[in-house]
Amino acid sequence: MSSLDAALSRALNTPGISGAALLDAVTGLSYAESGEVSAGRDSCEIAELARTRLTQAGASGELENVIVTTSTQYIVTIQLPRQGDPLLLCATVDRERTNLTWALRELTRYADELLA
Amino acid sequence: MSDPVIDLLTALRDNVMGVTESTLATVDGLVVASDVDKTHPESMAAVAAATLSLGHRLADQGDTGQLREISARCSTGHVIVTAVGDRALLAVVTDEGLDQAAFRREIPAVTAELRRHLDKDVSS
Amino acid sequence: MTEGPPEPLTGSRNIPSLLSALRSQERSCTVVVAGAPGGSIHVRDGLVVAMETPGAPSVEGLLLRSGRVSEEAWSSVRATDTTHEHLAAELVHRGLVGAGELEVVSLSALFDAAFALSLATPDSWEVTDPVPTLYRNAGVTPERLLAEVSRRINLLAGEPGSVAALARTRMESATAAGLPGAVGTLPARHQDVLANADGRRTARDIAFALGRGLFAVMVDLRQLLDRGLVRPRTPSADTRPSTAARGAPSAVSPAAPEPVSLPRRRPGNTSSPAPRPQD
Repeated sequence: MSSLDAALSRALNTPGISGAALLDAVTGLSYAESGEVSAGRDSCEIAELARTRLTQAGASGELENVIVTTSTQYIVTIQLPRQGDPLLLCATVDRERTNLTWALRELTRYADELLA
Repeated sequence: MSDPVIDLLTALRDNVMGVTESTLATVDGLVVASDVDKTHPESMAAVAAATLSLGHRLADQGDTGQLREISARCSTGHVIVTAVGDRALLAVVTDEGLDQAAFRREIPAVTAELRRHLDKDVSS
Repeated sequence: MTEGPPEPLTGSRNIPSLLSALRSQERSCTVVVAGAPGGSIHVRDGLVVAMETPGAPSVEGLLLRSGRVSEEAWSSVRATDTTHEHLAAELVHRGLVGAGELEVVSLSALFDAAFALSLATPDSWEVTDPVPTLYRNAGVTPERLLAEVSRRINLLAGEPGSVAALARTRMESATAAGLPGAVGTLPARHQDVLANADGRRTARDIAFALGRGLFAVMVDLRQLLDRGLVRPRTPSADTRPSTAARGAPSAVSPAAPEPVSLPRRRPGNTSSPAPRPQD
Protein backbone atom coordinates (compact mmCIF):
# COMPACT_ATOMS: atom_id res chain seq x y z
CA MET A 1 0.00 0.00 0.00
CA SER A 2 1.26 3.48 -0.81
CA SER A 3 2.16 5.83 1.98
CA LEU A 4 -0.38 8.35 0.72
CA ASP A 5 -3.23 5.83 0.82
CA ALA A 6 -2.17 4.81 4.31
CA ALA A 7 -2.14 8.41 5.53
CA LEU A 8 -5.53 9.14 3.98
CA SER A 9 -7.21 6.10 5.45
CA ARG A 10 -5.97 7.19 8.89
CA ALA A 11 -7.93 10.40 8.37
CA LEU A 12 -11.07 8.33 8.01
CA ASN A 13 -10.69 7.15 11.59
CA THR A 14 -11.83 10.58 12.67
CA PRO A 15 -15.56 10.48 13.39
CA GLY A 16 -17.57 12.31 10.75
CA ILE A 17 -14.96 12.21 8.00
CA SER A 18 -16.34 9.76 5.46
CA GLY A 19 -13.99 10.30 2.56
CA ALA A 20 -10.75 12.02 1.62
CA ALA A 21 -8.75 12.55 -1.54
CA LEU A 22 -5.44 14.16 -2.38
CA LEU A 23 -5.55 16.07 -5.66
CA ASP A 24 -3.15 18.15 -7.70
CA ALA A 25 -4.45 21.73 -7.60
CA VAL A 26 -3.35 22.45 -11.18
CA THR A 27 -3.74 19.21 -13.10
CA GLY A 28 -6.60 17.75 -11.06
CA LEU A 29 -4.76 14.41 -10.87
CA SER A 30 -5.91 12.32 -7.94
CA TYR A 31 -2.86 11.00 -6.05
CA ALA A 32 -4.81 9.02 -3.50
CA GLU A 33 -8.40 8.41 -2.49
CA SER A 34 -10.04 6.83 0.48
CA GLY A 35 -13.68 6.30 1.40
CA GLU A 36 -16.54 8.29 -0.10
CA VAL A 37 -14.94 10.83 -2.47
CA SER A 38 -17.48 11.38 -5.25
CA ALA A 39 -18.56 14.73 -3.77
CA GLY A 40 -14.98 15.99 -3.99
CA ARG A 41 -14.59 15.31 -7.73
CA ASP A 42 -14.97 18.92 -8.73
CA SER A 43 -13.06 20.36 -5.79
CA CYS A 44 -10.17 21.20 -8.05
CA GLU A 45 -12.28 23.44 -10.26
CA ILE A 46 -14.01 25.03 -7.30
CA ALA A 47 -10.68 25.80 -5.66
CA GLU A 48 -9.26 27.17 -8.92
CA LEU A 49 -12.29 29.41 -9.23
CA ALA A 50 -11.89 30.64 -5.68
CA ARG A 51 -8.17 31.19 -6.16
CA THR A 52 -8.22 33.10 -9.44
CA ARG A 53 -11.54 34.94 -9.37
CA LEU A 54 -11.27 36.14 -5.82
CA THR A 55 -7.72 37.36 -6.42
CA GLN A 56 -8.89 39.21 -9.50
CA ALA A 57 -11.68 40.69 -7.44
CA GLY A 58 -9.15 42.03 -4.97
CA ALA A 59 -8.93 39.37 -2.26
CA SER A 60 -5.45 39.29 -0.81
CA GLY A 61 -3.37 36.41 0.55
CA GLU A 62 -3.10 32.80 -0.53
CA LEU A 63 -6.07 30.47 -0.67
CA GLU A 64 -6.20 28.27 2.42
CA ASN A 65 -9.44 26.39 2.14
CA VAL A 66 -12.84 26.22 0.52
CA ILE A 67 -15.82 24.88 2.41
CA VAL A 68 -19.00 23.97 0.60
CA THR A 69 -21.93 23.33 2.91
CA THR A 70 -24.91 21.22 1.95
CA SER A 71 -27.83 20.33 4.21
CA THR A 72 -26.07 17.14 5.32
CA GLN A 73 -22.37 17.56 4.50
CA TYR A 74 -19.40 19.82 4.41
CA ILE A 75 -17.12 19.40 1.41
CA VAL A 76 -13.84 20.70 2.79
CA THR A 77 -10.94 21.50 0.45
CA ILE A 78 -7.65 22.49 2.06
CA GLN A 79 -4.85 23.80 -0.12
CA LEU A 80 -1.47 22.38 0.85
CA PRO A 81 1.33 24.69 -0.18
CA ARG A 82 4.57 22.97 -1.15
CA GLN A 83 7.55 23.48 -3.38
CA GLY A 84 5.98 23.20 -6.80
CA ASP A 85 2.30 23.20 -7.64
CA PRO A 86 0.03 23.07 -4.56
CA LEU A 87 -2.01 20.04 -3.59
CA LEU A 88 -5.60 19.88 -2.41
CA LEU A 89 -6.83 17.71 0.43
CA CYS A 90 -10.55 17.21 -0.12
CA ALA A 91 -12.74 15.63 2.50
CA THR A 92 -16.40 14.78 2.87
CA VAL A 93 -17.57 15.60 6.38
CA ASP A 94 -20.88 14.47 7.88
CA ARG A 95 -22.60 17.47 9.52
CA GLU A 96 -24.53 15.24 11.91
CA ARG A 97 -21.45 13.68 13.41
CA THR A 98 -18.96 16.46 13.86
CA ASN A 99 -18.57 20.21 13.76
CA LEU A 100 -16.62 22.16 11.19
CA THR A 101 -13.94 23.54 13.50
CA TRP A 102 -13.04 20.12 14.78
CA ALA A 103 -13.01 18.57 11.31
CA LEU A 104 -10.80 21.36 9.95
CA ARG A 105 -8.37 20.97 12.83
CA GLU A 106 -8.12 17.22 12.32
CA LEU A 107 -7.72 17.51 8.56
CA THR A 108 -4.96 20.10 8.88
CA ARG A 109 -3.18 17.74 11.22
CA TYR A 110 -3.44 14.87 8.69
CA ALA A 111 -2.35 17.19 5.89
CA ASP A 112 0.90 17.85 7.72
CA GLU A 113 1.79 14.19 8.00
CA LEU A 114 0.58 13.34 4.50
CA LEU A 115 3.67 14.54 2.67
CA ALA A 116 6.17 13.71 5.38
CA MET B 1 15.94 37.49 -46.08
CA SER B 2 16.70 34.65 -43.72
CA ASP B 3 20.15 33.16 -43.64
CA PRO B 4 20.16 29.45 -44.62
CA VAL B 5 22.73 28.70 -41.94
CA ILE B 6 20.57 30.27 -39.24
CA ASP B 7 17.65 28.30 -40.67
CA LEU B 8 19.61 25.10 -40.18
CA LEU B 9 20.23 25.97 -36.54
CA THR B 10 16.57 26.86 -35.99
CA ALA B 11 15.51 23.64 -37.71
CA LEU B 12 17.73 21.67 -35.33
CA ARG B 13 15.94 23.30 -32.37
CA ASP B 14 12.57 22.53 -33.99
CA ASN B 15 13.36 18.91 -34.81
CA VAL B 16 15.09 17.76 -31.66
CA MET B 17 13.30 18.03 -28.32
CA GLY B 18 15.54 19.54 -25.71
CA VAL B 19 17.79 21.61 -27.97
CA THR B 20 17.58 25.19 -26.70
CA GLU B 21 20.48 27.12 -28.24
CA SER B 22 23.26 26.60 -30.77
CA THR B 23 26.30 28.43 -32.02
CA LEU B 24 28.29 27.73 -35.19
CA ALA B 25 31.90 28.87 -34.87
CA THR B 26 35.27 28.54 -36.52
CA VAL B 27 37.81 26.26 -34.87
CA ASP B 28 39.72 29.37 -33.83
CA GLY B 29 36.72 30.51 -31.84
CA LEU B 30 34.96 33.13 -33.96
CA VAL B 31 31.17 33.14 -34.30
CA VAL B 32 29.80 32.26 -37.75
CA ALA B 33 26.11 32.12 -36.85
CA SER B 34 24.03 31.55 -33.77
CA ASP B 35 20.53 30.74 -32.61
CA VAL B 36 20.70 31.83 -29.00
CA ASP B 37 18.68 33.41 -26.26
CA LYS B 38 20.63 33.12 -23.03
CA THR B 39 24.13 32.13 -24.10
CA HIS B 40 26.63 34.73 -25.23
CA PRO B 41 27.66 33.45 -28.69
CA GLU B 42 31.13 35.00 -28.69
CA SER B 43 32.03 33.40 -25.37
CA MET B 44 30.43 30.09 -26.34
CA ALA B 45 32.41 30.08 -29.62
CA ALA B 46 35.68 30.72 -27.82
CA VAL B 47 35.14 28.10 -25.12
CA ALA B 48 33.78 25.53 -27.57
CA ALA B 49 36.81 25.97 -29.84
CA ALA B 50 39.14 25.42 -26.92
CA THR B 51 37.09 22.41 -25.82
CA LEU B 52 37.15 20.85 -29.26
CA SER B 53 40.90 21.23 -29.54
CA LEU B 54 41.31 19.64 -26.11
CA GLY B 55 38.96 16.90 -27.25
CA HIS B 56 41.20 16.11 -30.20
CA ARG B 57 44.15 15.85 -27.84
CA LEU B 58 42.13 13.66 -25.47
CA ALA B 59 41.32 11.35 -28.38
CA ASP B 60 45.04 11.25 -29.22
CA GLN B 61 46.03 10.48 -25.64
CA GLY B 62 43.38 7.81 -25.35
CA ASP B 63 44.27 6.47 -28.76
CA THR B 64 40.54 6.26 -29.41
CA GLY B 65 40.44 7.28 -33.05
CA GLN B 66 38.67 10.23 -34.58
CA LEU B 67 36.83 12.59 -32.20
CA ARG B 68 33.10 12.65 -32.91
CA GLU B 69 31.83 15.06 -30.31
CA ILE B 70 32.59 16.27 -26.85
CA SER B 71 29.80 16.84 -24.40
CA ALA B 72 29.47 18.37 -20.96
CA ARG B 73 26.70 16.59 -19.08
CA CYS B 74 25.35 18.82 -16.33
CA SER B 75 22.60 18.60 -13.72
CA THR B 76 20.00 20.49 -15.73
CA GLY B 77 21.29 20.15 -19.27
CA HIS B 78 24.14 19.42 -21.63
CA VAL B 79 26.51 21.31 -23.92
CA ILE B 80 27.59 19.25 -26.92
CA VAL B 81 30.38 20.34 -29.25
CA THR B 82 30.63 18.66 -32.65
CA ALA B 83 33.20 19.28 -35.37
CA VAL B 84 31.83 20.66 -38.64
CA GLY B 85 34.54 19.66 -41.10
CA ASP B 86 38.08 20.73 -40.26
CA ARG B 87 37.48 24.42 -39.87
CA ALA B 88 34.27 24.84 -37.92
CA LEU B 89 32.32 23.49 -34.97
CA LEU B 90 28.78 23.44 -33.67
CA ALA B 91 28.08 23.98 -29.97
CA VAL B 92 24.57 22.90 -28.94
CA VAL B 93 23.00 23.68 -25.57
CA THR B 94 20.20 21.36 -24.44
CA ASP B 95 18.09 20.77 -21.36
CA GLU B 96 18.30 17.53 -19.37
CA GLY B 97 15.42 16.02 -21.33
CA LEU B 98 17.27 16.02 -24.64
CA ASP B 99 15.88 13.47 -27.09
CA GLN B 100 19.20 11.68 -27.55
CA ALA B 101 17.89 9.42 -30.29
CA ALA B 102 16.62 12.33 -32.37
CA PHE B 103 19.85 14.26 -31.76
CA ARG B 104 21.97 11.36 -32.99
CA ARG B 105 19.71 11.02 -36.00
CA GLU B 106 19.75 14.70 -36.97
CA ILE B 107 23.26 15.87 -36.17
CA PRO B 108 25.18 14.11 -39.02
CA ALA B 109 22.86 15.62 -41.63
CA VAL B 110 23.01 19.04 -39.98
CA THR B 111 26.79 19.11 -39.80
CA ALA B 112 27.08 17.82 -43.37
CA GLU B 113 24.73 20.55 -44.60
CA LEU B 114 26.52 23.23 -42.57
CA ARG B 115 29.79 22.03 -44.00
CA ARG B 116 28.51 22.40 -47.54
CA HIS B 117 27.53 26.00 -46.83
CA LEU B 118 30.88 26.81 -45.31
CA ASP B 119 32.79 25.12 -48.14
CA LYS B 120 31.02 27.32 -50.69
CA ASP B 121 32.17 30.26 -48.62
CA VAL B 122 35.78 29.43 -49.27
CA SER B 123 35.56 28.50 -52.95
CA SER B 124 33.76 31.73 -53.89
CA MET C 1 12.68 -13.50 -18.11
CA THR C 2 12.47 -17.19 -17.68
CA GLU C 3 9.51 -17.73 -19.99
CA GLY C 4 9.61 -16.44 -23.54
CA PRO C 5 7.45 -13.49 -24.50
CA PRO C 6 3.92 -14.86 -24.62
CA GLU C 7 1.87 -14.64 -27.78
CA PRO C 8 -0.34 -11.56 -27.22
CA LEU C 9 2.59 -9.16 -26.92
CA THR C 10 3.63 -9.48 -30.51
CA GLY C 11 0.04 -9.09 -31.62
CA SER C 12 -0.56 -5.85 -29.73
CA ARG C 13 -1.69 -3.16 -32.14
CA ASN C 14 -0.80 -0.23 -29.94
CA ILE C 15 0.72 0.69 -26.60
CA PRO C 16 -2.56 0.56 -24.62
CA SER C 17 -3.31 -2.97 -25.78
CA LEU C 18 0.27 -3.98 -25.08
CA LEU C 19 -0.05 -2.61 -21.54
CA SER C 20 -3.32 -4.50 -21.04
CA ALA C 21 -1.63 -7.70 -22.15
CA LEU C 22 1.25 -7.08 -19.75
CA ARG C 23 -1.29 -6.36 -17.02
CA SER C 24 -3.13 -9.62 -17.50
CA GLN C 25 0.16 -11.52 -17.47
CA GLU C 26 1.37 -9.55 -14.42
CA ARG C 27 4.68 -9.02 -16.16
CA SER C 28 7.63 -7.00 -14.88
CA CYS C 29 9.42 -5.38 -17.78
CA THR C 30 10.38 -2.15 -19.47
CA VAL C 31 8.79 -1.17 -22.75
CA VAL C 32 11.14 0.89 -24.88
CA VAL C 33 9.15 3.05 -27.29
CA ALA C 34 10.76 4.58 -30.36
CA GLY C 35 9.19 7.73 -31.72
CA ALA C 36 9.28 11.49 -31.66
CA PRO C 37 9.50 11.57 -28.74
CA GLY C 38 10.00 8.02 -27.64
CA GLY C 39 10.34 6.87 -24.08
CA SER C 40 10.44 4.02 -21.59
CA ILE C 41 7.47 2.52 -19.77
CA HIS C 42 8.36 0.64 -16.61
CA VAL C 43 5.96 -2.14 -15.66
CA ARG C 44 6.12 -4.06 -12.38
CA ASP C 45 3.77 -7.00 -11.79
CA GLY C 46 1.56 -5.76 -14.58
CA LEU C 47 1.20 -2.23 -13.19
CA VAL C 48 2.86 0.85 -14.64
CA VAL C 49 5.16 2.44 -12.05
CA ALA C 50 7.18 4.93 -14.10
CA MET C 51 7.57 6.42 -17.57
CA GLU C 52 10.34 8.50 -19.00
CA THR C 53 10.32 10.54 -22.18
CA PRO C 54 12.17 13.56 -23.53
CA GLY C 55 8.70 15.09 -23.85
CA ALA C 56 8.17 15.63 -20.11
CA PRO C 57 10.36 16.26 -17.06
CA SER C 58 11.45 13.13 -15.19
CA VAL C 59 11.27 12.56 -11.43
CA GLU C 60 14.95 13.48 -11.25
CA GLY C 61 14.36 16.66 -13.22
CA LEU C 62 11.39 17.65 -11.04
CA LEU C 63 13.37 17.06 -7.84
CA LEU C 64 16.51 18.88 -8.98
CA ARG C 65 15.13 21.78 -11.03
CA SER C 66 12.64 22.75 -8.37
CA GLY C 67 15.41 22.78 -5.79
CA ARG C 68 13.71 20.13 -3.62
CA VAL C 69 16.94 18.14 -3.69
CA SER C 70 20.35 19.73 -4.12
CA GLU C 71 22.81 18.50 -6.70
CA GLU C 72 25.25 17.55 -3.95
CA ALA C 73 22.69 15.47 -2.06
CA TRP C 74 21.56 13.84 -5.29
CA SER C 75 25.09 12.79 -6.21
CA SER C 76 25.68 11.27 -2.80
CA VAL C 77 22.40 9.34 -2.96
CA ARG C 78 23.29 8.02 -6.40
CA ALA C 79 26.68 6.95 -5.15
CA THR C 80 25.00 4.59 -2.69
CA ASP C 81 23.07 2.72 -5.35
CA THR C 82 24.58 2.05 -8.73
CA THR C 83 21.51 0.24 -10.01
CA HIS C 84 18.98 3.01 -9.17
CA GLU C 85 16.68 0.34 -7.74
CA HIS C 86 16.79 1.76 -4.22
CA LEU C 87 17.19 5.45 -4.96
CA ALA C 88 13.67 6.27 -3.81
CA ALA C 89 14.13 4.49 -0.49
CA GLU C 90 17.49 6.18 0.02
CA LEU C 91 16.09 9.66 -0.72
CA VAL C 92 13.38 9.13 1.90
CA HIS C 93 15.71 7.42 4.36
CA ARG C 94 18.07 10.38 4.30
CA GLY C 95 15.18 12.76 4.89
CA LEU C 96 15.79 14.58 1.61
CA VAL C 97 12.21 14.10 0.45
CA GLY C 98 9.16 13.01 2.43
CA ALA C 99 7.75 9.60 1.49
CA GLY C 100 4.39 11.15 0.60
CA GLU C 101 6.02 13.99 -1.30
CA LEU C 102 8.15 11.58 -3.36
CA GLU C 103 5.06 9.53 -4.13
CA VAL C 104 3.32 12.67 -5.39
CA VAL C 105 6.30 13.61 -7.57
CA SER C 106 6.64 10.05 -8.85
CA LEU C 107 2.96 9.80 -9.81
CA SER C 108 2.82 13.26 -11.35
CA ALA C 109 5.86 12.48 -13.52
CA LEU C 110 4.31 9.16 -14.55
CA PHE C 111 0.97 10.63 -15.67
CA ASP C 112 2.72 13.59 -17.27
CA ALA C 113 4.99 11.34 -19.34
CA ALA C 114 1.97 9.26 -20.37
CA PHE C 115 0.27 12.45 -21.54
CA ALA C 116 3.40 13.57 -23.44
CA LEU C 117 3.78 10.16 -25.12
CA SER C 118 0.12 10.18 -26.12
CA LEU C 119 0.73 13.30 -28.24
CA ALA C 120 3.05 11.40 -30.60
CA THR C 121 2.51 8.27 -32.66
CA PRO C 122 5.06 5.62 -31.72
CA ASP C 123 7.26 4.15 -34.47
CA SER C 124 7.80 0.84 -32.76
CA TRP C 125 8.30 -0.66 -29.32
CA GLU C 126 10.23 -3.40 -27.69
CA VAL C 127 9.57 -5.25 -24.44
CA THR C 128 12.80 -5.69 -22.49
CA ASP C 129 13.82 -6.96 -19.07
CA PRO C 130 12.95 -4.54 -16.28
CA VAL C 131 15.32 -1.58 -16.23
CA PRO C 132 15.84 -0.15 -12.74
CA THR C 133 14.32 3.29 -12.35
CA LEU C 134 13.48 5.84 -9.68
CA TYR C 135 9.86 5.47 -8.60
CA ARG C 136 7.77 5.37 -5.47
CA ASN C 137 4.16 4.37 -5.95
CA ALA C 138 2.05 1.25 -5.80
CA GLY C 139 1.62 1.11 -9.58
CA VAL C 140 -1.16 2.29 -11.88
CA THR C 141 -3.44 0.13 -14.01
CA PRO C 142 -3.35 0.74 -17.78
CA GLU C 143 -7.06 1.62 -17.64
CA ARG C 144 -6.52 4.40 -15.12
CA LEU C 145 -3.56 5.71 -17.12
CA LEU C 146 -5.63 5.83 -20.26
CA ALA C 147 -8.61 7.42 -18.53
CA GLU C 148 -6.44 10.16 -17.05
CA VAL C 149 -4.74 10.86 -20.39
CA SER C 150 -8.11 11.24 -22.14
CA ARG C 151 -9.36 13.46 -19.31
CA ARG C 152 -6.34 15.70 -19.85
CA ILE C 153 -6.76 15.82 -23.60
CA ASN C 154 -10.45 16.65 -23.24
CA LEU C 155 -9.65 19.37 -20.75
CA LEU C 156 -7.28 21.11 -23.16
CA ALA C 157 -9.00 20.38 -26.42
CA GLY C 158 -10.72 23.24 -28.16
CA GLU C 159 -11.01 21.67 -31.56
CA PRO C 160 -9.69 18.27 -32.70
CA GLY C 161 -5.95 18.02 -32.94
CA SER C 162 -5.47 21.21 -31.04
CA VAL C 163 -3.76 19.59 -28.07
CA ALA C 164 -0.76 18.31 -30.02
CA ALA C 165 -0.65 21.65 -31.83
CA LEU C 166 -0.75 23.53 -28.54
CA ALA C 167 2.13 21.40 -27.29
CA ARG C 168 4.22 22.40 -30.30
CA THR C 169 3.36 26.08 -30.28
CA ARG C 170 6.00 28.53 -29.18
CA MET C 171 4.15 31.14 -27.14
CA GLU C 172 5.31 34.65 -26.58
CA SER C 173 4.13 37.15 -24.03
CA ALA C 174 1.56 39.56 -25.38
CA THR C 175 2.09 41.98 -22.54
CA ALA C 176 5.45 43.46 -23.44
CA ALA C 177 4.23 47.03 -23.45
CA GLY C 178 1.18 47.39 -21.29
CA LEU C 179 -1.20 45.57 -19.02
CA PRO C 180 1.05 45.51 -15.95
CA GLY C 181 -2.14 45.51 -13.87
CA ALA C 182 -3.39 42.28 -15.39
CA VAL C 183 -0.04 40.56 -14.84
CA GLY C 184 0.23 41.79 -11.28
CA THR C 185 -2.91 39.96 -10.19
CA LEU C 186 -1.81 36.67 -11.76
CA PRO C 187 -0.88 33.80 -9.48
CA ALA C 188 2.89 33.36 -9.13
CA ARG C 189 2.92 30.22 -11.26
CA HIS C 190 1.26 32.06 -14.18
CA GLN C 191 3.81 34.83 -13.86
CA ASP C 192 6.62 32.26 -14.03
CA VAL C 193 5.15 30.69 -17.16
CA LEU C 194 4.68 34.14 -18.68
CA ALA C 195 8.29 35.06 -17.96
CA ASN C 196 9.39 31.94 -19.85
CA ALA C 197 7.08 32.42 -22.82
CA ASP C 198 9.68 34.06 -25.04
CA GLY C 199 8.62 32.83 -28.45
CA ARG C 200 11.43 30.26 -28.53
CA ARG C 201 10.12 27.77 -26.01
CA THR C 202 7.37 25.22 -26.40
CA ALA C 203 5.24 24.16 -23.42
CA ARG C 204 7.64 21.26 -22.96
CA ASP C 205 10.64 23.59 -22.89
CA ILE C 206 8.95 25.82 -20.29
CA ALA C 207 8.09 22.76 -18.19
CA PHE C 208 11.75 21.69 -18.18
CA ALA C 209 12.94 25.22 -17.39
CA LEU C 210 10.56 25.51 -14.42
CA GLY C 211 10.76 21.90 -13.20
CA ARG C 212 6.98 21.53 -13.54
CA GLY C 213 4.80 19.09 -15.46
CA LEU C 214 4.11 19.47 -19.17
CA PHE C 215 0.35 19.23 -18.68
CA ALA C 216 0.37 21.73 -15.80
CA VAL C 217 2.24 24.23 -17.98
CA MET C 218 -0.16 23.61 -20.87
CA VAL C 219 -3.14 24.25 -18.57
CA ASP C 220 -1.55 27.53 -17.51
CA LEU C 221 -0.69 28.47 -21.11
CA ARG C 222 -4.25 27.79 -22.18
CA GLN C 223 -5.54 30.06 -19.42
CA LEU C 224 -3.04 32.78 -20.34
CA LEU C 225 -4.01 32.35 -23.99
CA ASP C 226 -7.70 32.72 -23.14
CA ARG C 227 -6.94 35.93 -21.27
CA GLY C 228 -4.90 37.27 -24.16
CA LEU C 229 -1.68 37.40 -22.17
CA VAL C 230 0.28 35.12 -24.51
CA ARG C 231 0.03 34.55 -28.23
CA PRO C 232 1.49 31.96 -30.57
CA ARG C 233 4.72 33.08 -32.13
CA THR C 234 4.16 33.33 -35.84
CA PRO C 235 7.23 32.32 -37.83
CA SER C 236 8.34 35.55 -39.44
CA ALA C 237 10.59 34.28 -42.19
CA ASP C 238 8.91 33.40 -45.48
CA THR C 239 11.91 31.42 -46.67
CA ARG C 240 12.07 29.43 -43.47
CA PRO C 241 12.47 25.71 -44.19
CA SER C 242 9.36 23.62 -43.89
CA THR C 243 10.61 21.55 -41.03
CA ALA C 244 8.69 18.43 -40.17
CA ALA C 245 6.75 19.16 -37.03
CA ARG C 246 7.69 17.31 -33.88
CA GLY C 247 5.77 14.11 -33.58
CA ALA C 248 4.12 14.60 -36.95
CA PRO C 249 2.67 11.25 -38.00
CA SER C 250 4.18 11.65 -41.47
CA ALA C 251 7.65 11.62 -40.02
CA VAL C 252 7.15 8.35 -38.19
CA SER C 253 5.74 6.22 -40.96
CA PRO C 254 8.00 3.17 -41.02
CA ALA C 255 7.47 2.61 -44.73
CA ALA C 256 8.93 5.86 -45.96
CA PRO C 257 12.59 6.62 -45.30
CA GLU C 258 13.00 9.40 -42.75
CA PRO C 259 12.91 12.64 -44.68
CA VAL C 260 15.83 14.86 -43.86
CA SER C 261 14.03 18.06 -43.08
CA LEU C 262 16.80 20.41 -43.94
CA PRO C 263 16.73 23.32 -46.32
CA ARG C 264 18.49 23.04 -49.63
CA ARG C 265 20.60 25.87 -50.82
CA ARG C 266 19.10 27.12 -54.07
CA PRO C 267 21.43 27.83 -56.96
CA GLY C 268 21.81 31.55 -57.40
CA ASN C 269 21.05 32.25 -53.76
CA THR C 270 24.03 34.35 -52.93
CA SER C 271 23.43 34.91 -49.26
CA SER C 272 26.34 33.57 -47.31
CA PRO C 273 26.98 33.11 -43.62
CA ALA C 274 28.12 36.01 -41.55
CA PRO C 275 31.63 37.20 -42.34
CA ARG C 276 34.39 35.15 -40.87
CA PRO C 277 38.12 35.22 -41.39
CA GLN C 278 39.59 33.58 -44.44
CA ASP C 279 41.10 30.31 -43.53
